Amino acid sequence: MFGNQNKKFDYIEKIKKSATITDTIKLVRSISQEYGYSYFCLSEIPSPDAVFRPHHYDNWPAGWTSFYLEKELFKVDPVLRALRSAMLPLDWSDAFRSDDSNDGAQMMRLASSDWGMRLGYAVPIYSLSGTQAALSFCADQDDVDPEGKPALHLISMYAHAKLEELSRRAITSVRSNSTLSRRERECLQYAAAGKTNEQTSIILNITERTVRAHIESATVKLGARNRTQAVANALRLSLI
Amino acid sequence: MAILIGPKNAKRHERLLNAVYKFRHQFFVDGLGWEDLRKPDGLEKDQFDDLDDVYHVVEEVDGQIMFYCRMMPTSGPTLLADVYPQLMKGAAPPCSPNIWEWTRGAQVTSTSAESKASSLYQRRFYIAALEAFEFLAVRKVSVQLHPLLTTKLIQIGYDVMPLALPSDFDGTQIVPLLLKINDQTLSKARARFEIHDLVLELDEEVRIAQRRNNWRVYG
Repeated sequence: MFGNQNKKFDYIEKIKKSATITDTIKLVRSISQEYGYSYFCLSEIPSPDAVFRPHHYDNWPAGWTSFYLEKELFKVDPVLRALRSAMLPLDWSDAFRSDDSNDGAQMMRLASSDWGMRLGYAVPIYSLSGTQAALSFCADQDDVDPEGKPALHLISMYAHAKLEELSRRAITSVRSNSTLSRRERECLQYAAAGKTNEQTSIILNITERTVRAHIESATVKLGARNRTQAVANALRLSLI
Repeated sequence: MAILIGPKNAKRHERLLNAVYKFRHQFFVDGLGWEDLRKPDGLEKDQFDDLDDVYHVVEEVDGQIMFYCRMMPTSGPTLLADVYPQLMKGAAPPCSPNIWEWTRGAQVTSTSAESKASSLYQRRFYIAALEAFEFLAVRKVSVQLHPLLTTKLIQIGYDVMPLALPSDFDGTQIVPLLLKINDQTLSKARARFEIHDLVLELDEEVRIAQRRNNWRVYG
């Protein structure tokens, strides 16, 4: 029925059927590689005045994300700037070119090619909740399939919506399964207020080991990987 | 409340339909710059508005139209088949009494001060359209829109299938999509938008006509 468009629509059907976040990420990775892009990154785009710590999924080269954050490249990244108002996908090179006078843009261009990310294609995504995201595809060599761009454009929308749905579902199930004990909640509240375990132990008059145990069990209940994520999840779920 | 205007009650709502054509002109021609649609009388009315099975969904508050859209079966002429078939990139456009084309979706444009109200009407727009599709027993909908809106339609609860890849169109891009509605779509959308009351009001003559139509189909 769709002739040579078939393969692209198969990818979309696969994403629609994907049942876990891991499977969806794997699919996005293999689809991007199919079109000649070694790397992808699906990231929230925080508003310009917010702290730049976006929630993201990626297979960026090891170390790139921490380099980007450490050097605060988000302050000068012309791609990020262009994405904030973009309605259509854009090539990184166009964003770099339109910003050539800027030292920051120059730095970003050099940095990304050092890391094997010379060519980029970024798709802006706007969620119903009003938040903004983007899926970027990236390659070092110019062997990307130019026919792939309209397909990746559409595939990005599906991948984002699927991941949003799956993480929304995960949060709902965490919320219904996570009743924090009074002590766990208190320990997290103090952690959220910037207290160390030692300080919390003094405030609550319990041992530091007990504080650590409460935070660890709350971390498990909240499906989090560490203390910071546990605090973030608890805040998001209005549990503390 | 929003109103569903169809062939049976179009006469009764003549004034409102006229306001609709004016609103469409303001929204699409003056607002979006679709110059091809410009009319000397400022009324954006086309060959499809006079068809037998065209339905309009419109909500008017204190003389201001808050949102509007149009629906018609693809068994007759449609925008996709008759105006820009190239969007299908060679594939056949939908053509069936069971697939309806959903076009001319428009909402009141607002200043930022009114953005809260405007988001309410945006949510009411989507619910009113789904209520209309439910009433008309429409389960498949053909739309052509900016690719960005694909995300919203998926998140609302439609099962969204592309009919072709996005095409460059008039300085922007358009993608033709097929939306499937299932038993959960409307309730999911109500939960997401937190709108649990009916948005669409149905005139008696429209109800009766639809009941007869259902008897003809199912009876």
